[in-house]
Amino acid sequence: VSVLWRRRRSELDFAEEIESHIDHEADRLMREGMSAAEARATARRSFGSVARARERYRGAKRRQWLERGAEDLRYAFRTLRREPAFAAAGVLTLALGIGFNTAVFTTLYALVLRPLPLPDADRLVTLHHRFEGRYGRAVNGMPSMASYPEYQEYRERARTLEGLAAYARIGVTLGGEQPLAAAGMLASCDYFDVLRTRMTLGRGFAGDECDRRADGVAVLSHGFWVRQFASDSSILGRTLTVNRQVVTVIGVVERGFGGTELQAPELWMPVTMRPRLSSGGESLRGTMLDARIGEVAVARDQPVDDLSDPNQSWLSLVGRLRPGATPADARAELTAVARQADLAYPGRITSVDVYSASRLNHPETRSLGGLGVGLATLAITGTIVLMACLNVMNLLLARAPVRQRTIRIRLALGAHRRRVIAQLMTESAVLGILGGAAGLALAAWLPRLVLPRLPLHGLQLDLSPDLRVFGYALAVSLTAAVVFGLAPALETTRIDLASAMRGDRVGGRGLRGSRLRQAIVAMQLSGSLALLVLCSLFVRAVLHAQSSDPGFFIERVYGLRPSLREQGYDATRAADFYRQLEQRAAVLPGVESVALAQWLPLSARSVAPLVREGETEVGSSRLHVSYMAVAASYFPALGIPILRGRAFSQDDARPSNPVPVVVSAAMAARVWPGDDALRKRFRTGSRDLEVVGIARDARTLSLSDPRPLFFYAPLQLGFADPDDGGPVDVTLIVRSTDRASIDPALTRIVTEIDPAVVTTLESLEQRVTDQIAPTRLAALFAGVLGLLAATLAAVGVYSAMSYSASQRTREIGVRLALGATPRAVTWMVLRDGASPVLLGLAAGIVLAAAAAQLARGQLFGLSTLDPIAFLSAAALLSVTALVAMYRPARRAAGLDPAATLRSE
Amino acid sequence: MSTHKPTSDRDTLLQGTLDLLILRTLEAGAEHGQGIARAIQEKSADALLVEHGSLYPALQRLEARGWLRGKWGVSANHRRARFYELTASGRKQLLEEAARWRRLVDAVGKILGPGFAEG
Repeated sequence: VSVLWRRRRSELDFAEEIESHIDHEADRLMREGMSAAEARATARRSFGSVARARERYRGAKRRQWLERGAEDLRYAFRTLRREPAFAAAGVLTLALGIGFNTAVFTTLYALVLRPLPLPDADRLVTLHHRFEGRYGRAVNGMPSMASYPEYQEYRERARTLEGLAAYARIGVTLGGEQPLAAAGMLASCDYFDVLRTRMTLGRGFAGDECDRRADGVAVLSHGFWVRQFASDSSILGRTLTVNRQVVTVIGVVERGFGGTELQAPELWMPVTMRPRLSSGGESLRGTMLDARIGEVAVARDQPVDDLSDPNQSWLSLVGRLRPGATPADARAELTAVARQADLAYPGRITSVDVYSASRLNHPETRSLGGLGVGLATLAITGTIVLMACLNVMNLLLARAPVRQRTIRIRLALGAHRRRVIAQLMTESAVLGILGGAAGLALAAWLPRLVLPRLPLHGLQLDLSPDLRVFGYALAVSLTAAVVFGLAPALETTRIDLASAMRGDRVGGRGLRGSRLRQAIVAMQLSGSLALLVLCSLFVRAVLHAQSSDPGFFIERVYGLRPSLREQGYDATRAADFYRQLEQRAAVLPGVESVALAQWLPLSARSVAPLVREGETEVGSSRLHVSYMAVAASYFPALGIPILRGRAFSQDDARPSNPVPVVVSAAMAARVWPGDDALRKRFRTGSRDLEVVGIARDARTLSLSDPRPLFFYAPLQLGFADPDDGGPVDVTLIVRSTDRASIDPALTRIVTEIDPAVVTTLESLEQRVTDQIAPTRLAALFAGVLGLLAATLAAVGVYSAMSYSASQRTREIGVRLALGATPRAVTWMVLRDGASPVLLGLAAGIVLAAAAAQLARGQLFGLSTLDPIAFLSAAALLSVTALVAMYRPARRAAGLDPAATLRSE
Repeated sequence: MSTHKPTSDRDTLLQGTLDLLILRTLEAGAEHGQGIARAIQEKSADALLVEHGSLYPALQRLEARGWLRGKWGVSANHRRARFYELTASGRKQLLEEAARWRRLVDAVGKILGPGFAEG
């Protein structure tokens, strides 16, 4: 094929040769004393009948379009190679834009679209409940989860499914000389069959092991087996102590298998062991799940055995479709089954949603886990691709006059304009694809940079590019090529042939070209301003979060949270444990104060609907409040002042009705507006509560929520409250002079009280850092992208200004000749260039305000219209634009009027 | 004057001559199109003016026959230009063409006779 190419030279090559001829001729004429313009015109004229030259060259043959495409491609590569600076600038710009965008896409794709790395994963589906109407339901995890009886019913009756498995996460402690906390998973008997898990050693669960009275068994993850048991193949048959239960190891899964969830478990046990593994059959009600994952626990009314409670959400379901069945079939079938169960719950309407299984399945995690934020990020990075396109478009337009020389000849040779456009677009496509390829490389590398900086650990997320990621990047690249290439291609080929042959430079396209470039400048400025505003908003938010008072002490505050529930403690034993721990911790050297509370601030939340006294229906007020149980010492230890009424006393640490509570100032104002909150009564769940005090607002839930609707309940250690069973797992909060002195001492105390209990010390400052981390990262990215965009915009402003000033050379010459001062000319040119700049800045402010609204959650209560952030970004960009405008304006003012007039 | 003549007539005539002139010019070494045109013009003391519309198709044709080899390079002016050089068969062709031209000139001269219409 290459022989064929070499023998038949392309039309483009020929056009270039002629252009080269004319250049040489012009050089010669100039040596003989002609002016540059004159020499060119003469050389061109003397070349003679170009059209005929071409006709003879071309012969009668018509080329196939394929051959033309290949020729265009070859030519495009050669053009880019010949202009390495242009090519590099274009590819780099596009790579950054497409890279960021593709990285975000890859992450979203890995979370919600990418099939799980399991055999025949395309037939795996997840099942989720959707309840409507009036109903009450216990939730341990997420509302869309299923109860064990529901799971059994679906598995029995689903004809569309080959198999259906259920699972739930459980925290476990492995006993031994060195107790160890591990990530456990309760799984139904057929879990490994449905997922078609292969085993490195042993087997999965067998039928009789799933009986609720059977001896305990466990299957280990490959990594856990390697780490903890040094890949010992005699592990099968050995017993472990898990949450005080003896279990026998029956298998090790194959390497790389980590279940279906984002976080891989380390060992699996039959779901029927749940009552034994979580202390004495007591429900996990009241357990508050980590707010960072976004799960919300809601109070339940009656304690029931988990396995027989038909109205409790705690199990995730994953099924395998029968060949030929679709998720829609399964959805219809299982919704019908669920509607029959609704007969026992009048007013409840249940639907079962069926999705193709991916890493992020639960509708709650999809919405709370930031799918919306993810899509917004995709849109923001999409605008960066657009900015990159505008920049490349600007480069292409700046190059247009050079390209037009060759193109004029080609058109004069009789080439169709369409053909020339196709060739220019091929060049753009090559540029786009090169940029996209570099972008893919960047996208593959970015997560490695970003993920370690986020407070996420052990995520099973496959971010390697696959065909769909490639397809996405290719689609973005080609779309970008059309966006940045089409307008310049049309503009470059818009040549008036007659004037072209005379050698005129302007040829009627000047005005359109400069309008286009001004529009591009305005768009670039608005985009970069939006990014810079976001950056300074994020930076201000980080500073704000670090400097503003969260309402409680942060420095030198530590939390210690022993996992007693896993060790089978009941409320009474737990109370003993904590009293000992608190007493001994308080007298450690360096300790300033200690307090017991359900949680360290900024770690979790529990939300309940609130019913004021006198109201009857749940949810009639539509107010949801958060709460936490704390001991009396919590307020002084964390420095939270009581504004009115009283704090808790020792008497409050035993059950009473109503339960005394301290509410936040914000809650007092919101729930009882215009009224005194003190001594008001209300209900959450089944408890009657009475306000005894009002505390100053504190950001206990999240740094971004300065005035939460929040109340403190008294921590009632050792007493079974009506629907709880009493707190078993609580946190010891310690404020001390430094960490080093208390860390080993506290661990020693815990081990002395009970050697089986595992615990770690956590610092509140670390919590704050974790909460700020995403914003800090966002600031970094917005800053880098913003500065990049601003640089591109400055280059755009500069070249647009230079261009429009050169278009007006004659006019400026006349003005200068008529006595205009250089200063006046400078101003005139500046004024002229200012309108796209001002337009761009104005649009940028609007854009930034909209973007800030989307990013509100990351601003820690900073106003989305923070004037300092907006003004500083706008000032920075205005100065940059002014500097870029100044040189062309000065140059215009420095023109020699005589010379400009003569050259015309 | 010659505008009424069919173009093909003049072409045939020019073709052979131009081919010979190009080959002869390139005997001195590789040269680009404009250089060839200038050389012919200068050596003939401006008597012959190469029509560019014919020069490039001729170069194209000679290259297609394998007498010339074209290659992109950089000229003394530091510009890109397509340089042509003679191939071995081109050299042979030049000798043949030159001999034929001499024969033609000789024959025509004999017909015109010595001294006819000479300045």
